[in-house]
Amino acid sequence: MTALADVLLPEGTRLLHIGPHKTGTSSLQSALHRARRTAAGHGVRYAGPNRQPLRAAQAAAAIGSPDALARPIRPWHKLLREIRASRAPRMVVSSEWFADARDDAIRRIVDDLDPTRVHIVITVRPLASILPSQWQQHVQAGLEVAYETWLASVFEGTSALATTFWHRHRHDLLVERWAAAAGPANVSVVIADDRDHGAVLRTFERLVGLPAGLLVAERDRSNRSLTGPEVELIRALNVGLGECRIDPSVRLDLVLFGAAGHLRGRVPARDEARIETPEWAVARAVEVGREIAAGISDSGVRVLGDLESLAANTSTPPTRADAADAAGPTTWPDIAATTAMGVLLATGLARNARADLDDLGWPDALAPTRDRQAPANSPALNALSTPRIAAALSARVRERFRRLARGPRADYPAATESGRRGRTTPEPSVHPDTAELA
Amino acid sequence: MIGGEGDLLLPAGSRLLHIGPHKTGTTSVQSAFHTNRAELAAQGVRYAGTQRQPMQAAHAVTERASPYADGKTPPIGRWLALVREVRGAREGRVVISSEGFADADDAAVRRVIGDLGVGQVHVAVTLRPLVELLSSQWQQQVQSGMTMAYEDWLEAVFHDPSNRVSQAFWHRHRHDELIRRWASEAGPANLTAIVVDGADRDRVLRVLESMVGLRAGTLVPEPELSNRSLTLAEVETIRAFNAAFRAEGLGTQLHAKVMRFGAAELMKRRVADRDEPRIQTPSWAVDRAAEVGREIVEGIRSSGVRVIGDLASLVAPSATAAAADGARAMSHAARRAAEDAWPTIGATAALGIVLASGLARDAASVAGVEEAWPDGPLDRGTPPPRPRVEPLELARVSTPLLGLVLVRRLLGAAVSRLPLPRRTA
Repeated sequence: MTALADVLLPEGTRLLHIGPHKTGTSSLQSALHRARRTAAGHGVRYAGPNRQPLRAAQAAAAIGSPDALARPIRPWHKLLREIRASRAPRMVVSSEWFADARDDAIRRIVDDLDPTRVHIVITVRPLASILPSQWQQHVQAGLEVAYETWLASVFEGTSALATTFWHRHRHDLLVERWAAAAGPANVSVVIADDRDHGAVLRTFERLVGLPAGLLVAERDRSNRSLTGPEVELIRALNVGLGECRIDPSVRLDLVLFGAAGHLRGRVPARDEARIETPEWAVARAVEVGREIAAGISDSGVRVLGDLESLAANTSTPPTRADAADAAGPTTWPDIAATTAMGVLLATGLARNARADLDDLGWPDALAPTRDRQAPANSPALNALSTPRIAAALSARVRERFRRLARGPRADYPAATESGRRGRTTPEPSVHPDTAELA
Repeated sequence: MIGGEGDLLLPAGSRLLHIGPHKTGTTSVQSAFHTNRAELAAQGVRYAGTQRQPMQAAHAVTERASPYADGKTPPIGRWLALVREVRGAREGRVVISSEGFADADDAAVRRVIGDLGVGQVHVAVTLRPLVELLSSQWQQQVQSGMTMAYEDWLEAVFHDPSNRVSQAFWHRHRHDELIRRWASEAGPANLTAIVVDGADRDRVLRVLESMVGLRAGTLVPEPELSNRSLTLAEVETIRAFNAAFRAEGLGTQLHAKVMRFGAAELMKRRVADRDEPRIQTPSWAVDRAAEVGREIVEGIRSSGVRVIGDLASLVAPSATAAAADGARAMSHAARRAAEDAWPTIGATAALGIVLASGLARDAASVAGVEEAWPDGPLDRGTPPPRPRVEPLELARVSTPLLGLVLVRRLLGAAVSRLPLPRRTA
C-alpha cells in the first residue's frame, strides 16, 4: 500500500463514500458514527445525525430519474447545508445509496459538493462474495426466487433485479461513471479484504488523517448475513405470504425487521451451512471479476488494496459432503422458533401479553416469571437512546389516536403484484442496518 | 355387528354425555354431530351447544384454567347456560360431548350428573390403546405450551406420580378409574365404554347412532377436518418456540391464539411427506403402557359397565410399538424428507402467527384457523396496531411501560444534574 503521506487527502476535502451495497458499508458507517466526537477533535466531521444519511442519499441518487417523485429532495439539501456550514478541515459523507445514481444525478451530486473539494471513495469486494450476500439481502426484503434461479437471471441480465445488480456491482463501470464526473484524480477505490475486516477502517483513517485504531467496528451481530438454512426459511415464508392479502409495508416489517431481524440476533454454530454458490456461477463471477479489475486498472483512479483479489474465488466451499444435511435436527427447531418469535414480536401482539402471575394454564403448571417489568430493564432497551424511545412512544400514541378517530382498519389490501409468487419485490426503502432511522 | 339396535337404544328423555377422554377421536365424533345438526333434529336428537363442542362450559364446571378465558376458569354461567339448554330441549334425546368433562374430579362429576339429571344421564367413554395415547397426548400438550422433551415427559408420566403432567395424564387416561368415577355417580348401568377401532373409525359413529336412535349413516364425518398428528419436526419446532415464548414471560392466552389455533393449526393443513419422521415411543415406555393397559382392562371388566368392542384390543401389541426401535436409525429417505420439510415447517409456523394476528388474510387458511376453535373463535377484537418499524426490544414493551421508562430516564437525567454533596472517603 501507498505511504501515509500519499494517501492523506488535502484539507478542505469532502470525502464522499458511495458504497456500493454489501462492501462492508454498515460497519464502516457505524464506526464513523460512534467515533464522531473523537474524530471531530482530529478535524474530521461525519455528515448527518445518524449512522448514514439514508434519505438524503436516496433523494440525491434519484435526481433526474422517475424515482425522484417518491424521494423528496429536502433531506439532501439539508445535508448540503450542514456540509457547507461546517468548518471542519475534512468532511466524510457515506451512503451506499449514492451508488444507485445515474449520470445526471452524479453530476449534480459532484457539483453540489463542489468539484474542487469532493473526493469519491468506492469500496469494492470480489463478486463471488457479493453474490450470496446480495441475494440473501433481497430475500430478507421479500424475494421468493431461489438462489440458483436468481444467479441465472443476474448473469443473463434479463430481470430488473439484474439491472440494479450490475449498476451497483459492475464496479469498473461504477468507477468510470463517477470518474467521468469528478475526474479520475478525485476517485479512490478501496479494496475490501474478506479476511481482514479492519483493513477498510485503517484505510479510511489514513485518508482523512485520523490516528490508526480510532475507528472501531461495532461488534454488532445483528448486521450479519443469514446462514443457508435461515435464508431458506425466510424464502419459504415469503412464498407463503405471497399467497396472502397483506399490506406490503406490513409484510416488510414482519419479515425484514421481525423474522429476519430476530434471526440476525441468533448466534449460529460455526459449522452451520453458508449460502453455497454453484460452481458455474463462481466461474462466471471470477471471469467478470477479471474484467472489473482490468477496467479499474485502466481508469486511472487511485487504487488502495490488492486489485488482483477481485478475480479471486472467495465463495464458501461446501461445508459438508451431503448438502441435504444443511443444519441438522437440533439447529432447525432453533431457527424456526427464532423466526416465529421474531414475527410474533413484530406483530405488536407481545406488547400487552405478559403472563399474569395467577395464569397457571401451562400444562406443566410452572408459574410464569415474576418480573413483569423485565422488558423495561433489558440491556437491549437500555442501549436505545432516550430520543429514540420518546419517538417510539409518540408514534404509538399518535397511532392510537388515529385509530380512535378512524376506527379499526376493516379491509385488507389485495395481494399486491410484488407479493405474487415468483415475482421479485423491490429493495426496501429502509435498509435493515438503518432501521433506527425510520 | 354390536347386537341389535334395540340393545343399545337409550330410553326417550335420555341425555347422552360423551366425556372423551382426550385423543380418542373426539374431534371427529363432535364434528359429525355438529355438522349434521339439522338431520339430527329431524330425527328427534339435539346436539347441545352451538359449536363443535361446549369446551368452555366443561372447563367452567370442572374449574379448569382455559386458554379461552385468559388462562383462568371460565364463568360458571357458561355451564348453567348449557344445562338450561339441555333441560329445555324438546327433542327426545340430547347429546353432549366434550373431552373437557374427563378432567372432572369427584365433586365436579357429582355436579355434572346432578345438573343433567340423575337417571337421565348416560355416560359414554371412548377408549383407545394407551400406547397410542402417549405420543398424541404429549404433542397436544406441546401445542398448549409445554417444553418437556418426549423422553422426559414419558419419564415423568410413568415414574414421577407427583408431577403435574403425570397427574393430568392419568386422571384422563387411567380409564378404569375414569369409568369408576363416573359410574359411581351415574350408576354402572348408565355408562357405556366404546373401544375405538383404529381400522374402522366410523364404527364409533354407528354405535352412537344406535344409542340415540339415529338411522345408521346419519352421522357423516367431515372430510375436510384433518386432525392429523404432527410430525416430529413440527412438534420440535413448537417446543423450541414454547421455550422462547415462555422465556419472554408471555401468557397462555396469546400462546393459544398464535400457536394452538394459529401456527399448529396451519401446520396440520400442510401435507406432510410420507417419509417424514414421526414421534417414536421408546420400547421401555411401550412395555410400561402395556402393563398399565392390562390393569385398566381388568378394572373396566370388573366395573360392571357396558362395553362395546373388544377390550383385549386395547393391550394388543400394535404396529407402532413394533416399529419403534427399528426406526431409531433414521433411514436415508426419512432424513432427506425431514431436511426438505424444515424450511416449510418453520415458515408455516411463522405464517400461522401472522394469520392469527389478523394482519394478513388468506381465505382458505383463515377459515381453517377459525374452524380449529372447538368452542367458536375467540373474539379477535380489532387487529393489533399496525406494526411500526421499531427495534424488536421495543416490541416487547407495552406503551404504559415505555412511558415509565421514558419518565425514569428523564428524571434520572434531571437528578444527575443536581449538584451532589461531595462524599467523604
